[in-house]
Amino acid sequence: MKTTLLILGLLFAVILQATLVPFITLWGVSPNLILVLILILVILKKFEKVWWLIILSGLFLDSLAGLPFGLVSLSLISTAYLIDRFNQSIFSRIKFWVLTILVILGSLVYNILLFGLGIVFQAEVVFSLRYLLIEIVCNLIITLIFYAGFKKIFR
Amino acid sequence: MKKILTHSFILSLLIIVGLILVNNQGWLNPVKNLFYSLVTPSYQISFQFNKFFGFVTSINQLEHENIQFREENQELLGQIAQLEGIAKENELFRRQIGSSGPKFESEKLILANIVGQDTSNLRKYFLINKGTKDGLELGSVVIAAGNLLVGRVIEVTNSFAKVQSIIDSNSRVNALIFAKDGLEITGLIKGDQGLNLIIDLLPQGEVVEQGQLIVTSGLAGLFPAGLLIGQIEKVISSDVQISQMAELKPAIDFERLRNVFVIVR
Repeated sequence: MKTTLLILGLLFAVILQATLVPFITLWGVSPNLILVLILILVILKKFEKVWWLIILSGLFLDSLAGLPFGLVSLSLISTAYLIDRFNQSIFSRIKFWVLTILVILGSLVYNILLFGLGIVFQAEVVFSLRYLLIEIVCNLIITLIFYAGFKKIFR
Repeated sequence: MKKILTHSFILSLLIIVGLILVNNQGWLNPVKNLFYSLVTPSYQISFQFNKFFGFVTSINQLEHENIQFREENQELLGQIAQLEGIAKENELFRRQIGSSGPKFESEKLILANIVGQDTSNLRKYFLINKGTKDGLELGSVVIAAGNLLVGRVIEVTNSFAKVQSIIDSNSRVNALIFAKDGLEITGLIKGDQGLNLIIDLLPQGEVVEQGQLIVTSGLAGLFPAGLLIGQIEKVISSDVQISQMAELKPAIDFERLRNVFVIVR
């Protein structure tokens, strides 16, 4: 039941990311809803249990992103894995400040990977520090909105 | 070896690499088509939501904008007279270079709706609800009403196509500026950060000024000549560089764009 809910929820979130989210902007930058949801899932459930969901989300995102196919999936899966490793080796309990650090770190890693892999895939991915900082703020706001609900469902 | 292959991260990477290969063969197109069909109705609802929300939040600004528009109207009346002169000049230029401007007589214009946006924050691509069954192909040129250049098709499935807009940093468009002294200045347009454009490779010594209009030159054959791209906003010139650059304001408001035309042969 939870698995079906997760798949439908993520599919809905990807559709929102491609439709409604681009209209919700802070200084022209939208939050990365999928990244935030994946990070929350990884923090709450561990990478080993949700890796296939990340691939599924990545597949949908890649279909809609204007980047070479696979670039978003690879960045997403690598970010999720790194954040999970970091979380498990450093933090013993999830507190508000831990969540904040992990989301900031996840957003940073994701964008750097996207930029780096863009070079490998020979696609020009614009890296702007200003945009990145605003995106982090947007992602933190989204995290605050979704985290409590997710915690209730998955803990 | 078995342990490595069953490690969830390694397995994930292998699956993604597999999906990339499968996609390169075009075997994922039916899945993409199905997914795009799910996105389409949602985008239309979101667009209406955004329009309504934008209207509600802008009520306070309306009075202020009204005064501003009246002032601008006065200015525009003056500019119309000036533009009539420029239009005559343009006609002369077209005759001189032997181009009659883009009329698309031998081609067909297909009206398409934007049904999805780029999921990354780069937002320079969008999805339209027309595909190969409507005659679209890779490289088909996309314009907006009034012969305004939007971009070109970079991926196409049976019923949908992905369009790379000219504001994307990977996009390159050969362009022309009609200078006041009757000369044509050629340059190369590329996307900038945000929603602006850059025109590069403008020869040093040529007079490039704010407000000049820029159109496609038709060089390289990717885009028809004469499509309006935008207006010069700021010239970035330095004596140490061999060419000049300028920032442009695109003629299209990409955030509000909803319908486009695709030129098909």
